[in-house]
Amino acid sequence: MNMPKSNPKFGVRVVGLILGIAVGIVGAFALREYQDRQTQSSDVVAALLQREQELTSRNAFLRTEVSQLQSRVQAMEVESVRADQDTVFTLQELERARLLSGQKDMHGPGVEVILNDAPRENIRAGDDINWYLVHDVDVLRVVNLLRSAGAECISINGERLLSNSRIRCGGPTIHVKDRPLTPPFVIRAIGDARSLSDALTAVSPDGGMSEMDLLRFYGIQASVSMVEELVVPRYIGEFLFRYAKAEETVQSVNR
Amino acid sequence: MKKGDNSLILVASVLLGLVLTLSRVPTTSTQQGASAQRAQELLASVSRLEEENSALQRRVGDVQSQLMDYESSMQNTDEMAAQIAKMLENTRMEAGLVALTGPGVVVTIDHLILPASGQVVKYVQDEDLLTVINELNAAGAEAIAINGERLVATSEVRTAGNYINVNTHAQSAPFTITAIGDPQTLNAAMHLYGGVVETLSQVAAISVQSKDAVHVPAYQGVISYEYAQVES
Repeated sequence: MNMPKSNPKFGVRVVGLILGIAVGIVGAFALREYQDRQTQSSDVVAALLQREQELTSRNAFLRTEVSQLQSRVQAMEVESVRADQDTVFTLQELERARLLSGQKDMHGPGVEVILNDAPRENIRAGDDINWYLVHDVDVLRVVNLLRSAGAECISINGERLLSNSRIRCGGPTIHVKDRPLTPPFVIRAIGDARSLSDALTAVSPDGGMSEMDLLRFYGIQASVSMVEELVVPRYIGEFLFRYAKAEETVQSVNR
Repeated sequence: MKKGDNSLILVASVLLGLVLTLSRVPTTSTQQGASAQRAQELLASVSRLEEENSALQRRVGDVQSQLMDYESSMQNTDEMAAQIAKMLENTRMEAGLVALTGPGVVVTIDHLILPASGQVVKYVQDEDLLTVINELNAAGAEAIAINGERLVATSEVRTAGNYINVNTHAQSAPFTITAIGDPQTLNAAMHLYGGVVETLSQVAAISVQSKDAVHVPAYQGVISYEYAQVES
């Protein structure tokens, strides 16, 4: 490129060159700034992950502690019977109320249902990702079907289900009570294994797909297996009655 | 020189500027692919765990004080019997065996009917009721009944022909769901934007009323454990 110095366009080119480099420099700083922000948010993520881990293990420890304390409470009740035979009947009733309120570890035959999000490679571009995830309503339906088939007790990922267990979606996790559970969701139910299994695999009453087929239709990985012996742990959390009061009339009748 | 050469120089110089600067400014990023969304999800999870943690701590405290009550009454059989009777009363309440009253809401759900002809456009489905119940539970409902059937751990809500079975008893519309809890929270949970009332009013007639006192009866059924046994 040998251009005469007199070419007026030469000056324009030099200015263009300098401007271009300037834009490049500014752009580079902007990029670094963006990357720094990413780093900051990854610091936050790291801190949150650590807190999540701490709390998870702390809560697991507390659950063990509650369950050990409960065993001591119950041992003292049994002990008291030796001193006072009149409490035998009360203790039987207490045992039954504990069964009904889910405060006993249970074992027996039943089914194990496993629900998991669709594998990543199955998701086609442009599809709504929500189709491929296990949702609270999926778990609710499965649990409801197991209950109608006579499930005597149910747990999800080791959390015992009570009547007021809320099952909620929250990002990639499902909360049962306040405990965040991540897929795969392992639902264990004790009862007649065949009935429980049929409730999920039989064609629906209106002739539609079975629950398992319906879930699979949406791409969710769903399986149900009959198990001869499984364990459903007790509910460890608290029972809160802040608003509800026992009705006196009924209480006195029950006494 | 052609006109295109000018823009070529511009592009080249922008790149030059980028490369020069990037090579000089030290890297602080490790590009972990972290996103604000991930942070938000974790934050939600952590806050749930915090709630669970404080609930568990309260629970430990409760059981500890129960243990202390027992220990102090152990020498006195009458006192111990009274302690156990109290324990039984609380546990029966937790099991749903005691009728309860308290503030709360009454949710009524009926088939969607054409006012002109009285023709049913849409029947209430079990899943509609399940959604309402789950939402009420999420809002901290302490006790719930559907048409007078107390919900316990084994309660199903299942369409069977023209009825919906609750605790194996056939219920028909209108379905009245009574829930004890903070009326404001329960009512607000029902009326969330895009929430239960908004969604269900497309397919059913639904109304929510806050009440100073609602009645939730005791569970009347018999639960027999044929398969489940206590783990020793």
